[in-house]
Amino acid sequence: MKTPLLLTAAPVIEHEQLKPDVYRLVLAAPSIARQALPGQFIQVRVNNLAEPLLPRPFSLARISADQGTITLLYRIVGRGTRLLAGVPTGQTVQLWGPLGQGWALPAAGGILSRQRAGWPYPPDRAVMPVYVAGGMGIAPLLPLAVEWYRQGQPGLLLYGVRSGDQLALLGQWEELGVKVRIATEDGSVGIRGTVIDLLAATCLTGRHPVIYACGPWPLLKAIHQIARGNYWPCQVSLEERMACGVGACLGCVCRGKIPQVDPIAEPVPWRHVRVCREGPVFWSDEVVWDG
Amino acid sequence: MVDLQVNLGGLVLKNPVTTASGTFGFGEEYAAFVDLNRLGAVTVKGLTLEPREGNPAPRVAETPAGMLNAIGLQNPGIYRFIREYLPSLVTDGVPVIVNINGYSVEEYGLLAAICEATAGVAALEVNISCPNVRQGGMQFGLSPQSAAAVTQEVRRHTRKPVIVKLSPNVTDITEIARAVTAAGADAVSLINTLLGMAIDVGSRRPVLANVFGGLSGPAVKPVALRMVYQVYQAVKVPILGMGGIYTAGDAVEFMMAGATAVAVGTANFANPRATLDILEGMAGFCLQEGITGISELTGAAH
Ligand SMILES: Cc1cc2nc3c(=O)[nH]c(=O)nc-3n(C[C@H](O)[C@H](O)[C@H](O)COP(=O)(O)OP(=O)(O)OC[C@H]3O[C@@H](n4cnc5c(N)ncnc54)[C@H](O)[C@@H]3O)c2cc1C
Ligand SMILES: Cc1cc2nc3c(=O)[nH]c(=O)nc-3n(C[C@H](O)[C@H](O)[C@H](O)COP(=O)(O)O)c2cc1C
Ligand code: FES
Repeated sequence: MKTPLLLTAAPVIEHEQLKPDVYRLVLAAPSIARQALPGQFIQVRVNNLAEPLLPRPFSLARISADQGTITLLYRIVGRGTRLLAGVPTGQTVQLWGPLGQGWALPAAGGILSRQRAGWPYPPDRAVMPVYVAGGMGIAPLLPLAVEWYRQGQPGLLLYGVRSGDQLALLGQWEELGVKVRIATEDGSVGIRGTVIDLLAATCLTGRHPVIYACGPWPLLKAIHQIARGNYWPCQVSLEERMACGVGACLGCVCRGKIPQVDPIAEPVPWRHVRVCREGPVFWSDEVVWDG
Repeated sequence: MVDLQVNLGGLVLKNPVTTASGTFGFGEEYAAFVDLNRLGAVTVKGLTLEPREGNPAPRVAETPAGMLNAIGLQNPGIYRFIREYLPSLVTDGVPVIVNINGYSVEEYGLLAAICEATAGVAALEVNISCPNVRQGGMQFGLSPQSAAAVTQEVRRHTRKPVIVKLSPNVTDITEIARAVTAAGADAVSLINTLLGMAIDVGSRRPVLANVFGGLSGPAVKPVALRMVYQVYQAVKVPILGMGGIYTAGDAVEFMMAGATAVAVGTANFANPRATLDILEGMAGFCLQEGITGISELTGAAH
């Protein structure tokens, strides 16, 4: 399936500082909002100067087809995000997308639309979405939770941050009826520890969980291992350094155990797959986590 | 009306704007943004005989007004390219330039023979200058003898236009340009990327897994322009100019330095429509200057 890609100058509708270093940016981009699927991302440029040169990838943290808007949730980490934070309401940014493969979505009745060979649950059985977010990894998960909510499956959010003052926009999750559990490294809110501890401590037996995880690589690797140990299907959204974001430069690869596409070639244990095109969302057992 | 047509060593292009190998995938990645048929030609990602997985990530790093890459020639191999990617490009109607990369002189010959036998291939770009693969690759582009040997072998296997892509990582690029034209190149393309690196001060490690990478983008433009200017004076064959072209003005500069046609590379990443924006800007420049044929610009600065 291929959705058309759009290149547009999108006006900033709202730009709000949520935390000292975290911003929420609402952009008017009706055609992208109409087409985008949860888990997809866009490339953003603040101006067309040669410096900084490359666009910055951001997940869609909210997709409002009705309002014709998309929302980004981002943390300032360097030049590009600092520049973005300075863009006032009314000004436009260049963006293109929606890019990449999003999350496996629910179908009617709360069953998973993209079940795979070796699916561990009865095929017609409703599953429980379990969202696992480390830090800014929360961003691409809310649009997914909206889809599950529409199918009557609010599910569970496990959210890990450094400290309680980093928590943002939890109200939106609670509105969807999602049960929220928090881990903070300093113990200021929820349990003291990481979201890995939270997942390990959560009893999901008999609930047919599907894990959706986003965060730093070591966290995703640990989540994958817990999921695999429990036979829980698990999807992860990966980040890699990107240039084009559209699959052309081959800059953003990871090692993927993608089914052999070439019947003539010798079988290989892994291939380099593009995070921007075959991802950013992968089934966790399709990713080579070591080396 | 401005006549935009140019002749690149026997390859007739409806306009001088092409895509730089490795920055435009196999065309389809940008087809949503660019009507490929409006481009002078599409040069595809560098191909090898066998499929290759390339270097580990991280493979790219942004640098001031540029970027480093160490892709390492990841590609599906020439056979799968011909089977799976070439047909739709040919249907789009745009001339396809195939960028070939051998690991031995003989392999370049074999790749050329395959291109000769494949109807959809309009011309060959012989990459003797990739900085990101250990064996082969750039070594061939570093000495006039090996550059000529590769060119001769390719020439022996094809009658299609042969464009030899030169490395900027040499003391005297004109020496290599002379050697490959004497060996039968119909045109030369320059420049490939400049070898560079970046270090992450936090981890005290090189940013790229491959340590070194090729620098491209606006940062390299003055170097590339100088080399095009020099090569124009040194050889008679047409030049496909590239290296940091970001605006129509940059492209015009390359033509004035001596390029017959230009390739847009890294700029595609910053603006998926860069090729067409540059083409439109070049045509606009000609109109404004009262130029009736764009090829009049070639070498105008000499
Ligand atoms: C698919 C995808 C979705 C993302 N979604 C979000 C999101 O919703 N919210 C958010 O805050 N961040 C997100 N990121 C990370 C975000 O792209 C980076 O934080 C941002 O590019 C940093 O740019 P900078 O100029 O501020 O940092 P610098 O460190 O100055 O950037 C230098 C270069 O490194 C790249 N880079 C730096 N950090 C990352 C990173 N973590 N991942 C990929 N490239 C990086 C930049 O793009 C740039 O090319 C996402 C990344 C990817 C790949
Ligand atoms: C990501 C990337 C991949 C590249 N891959 C190839 C390649 O496969 N073969 C080749 O001849 N040149 C390759 N190049 C070099 C470009 O074709 C071009 O010569 C160079 O980038 C300079 O032009 P630019 O500054 O406009 O990008 C690559 C460049 C980049 C940035
Ligand atoms: S960023 Fe260019 S291929 Fe993924």
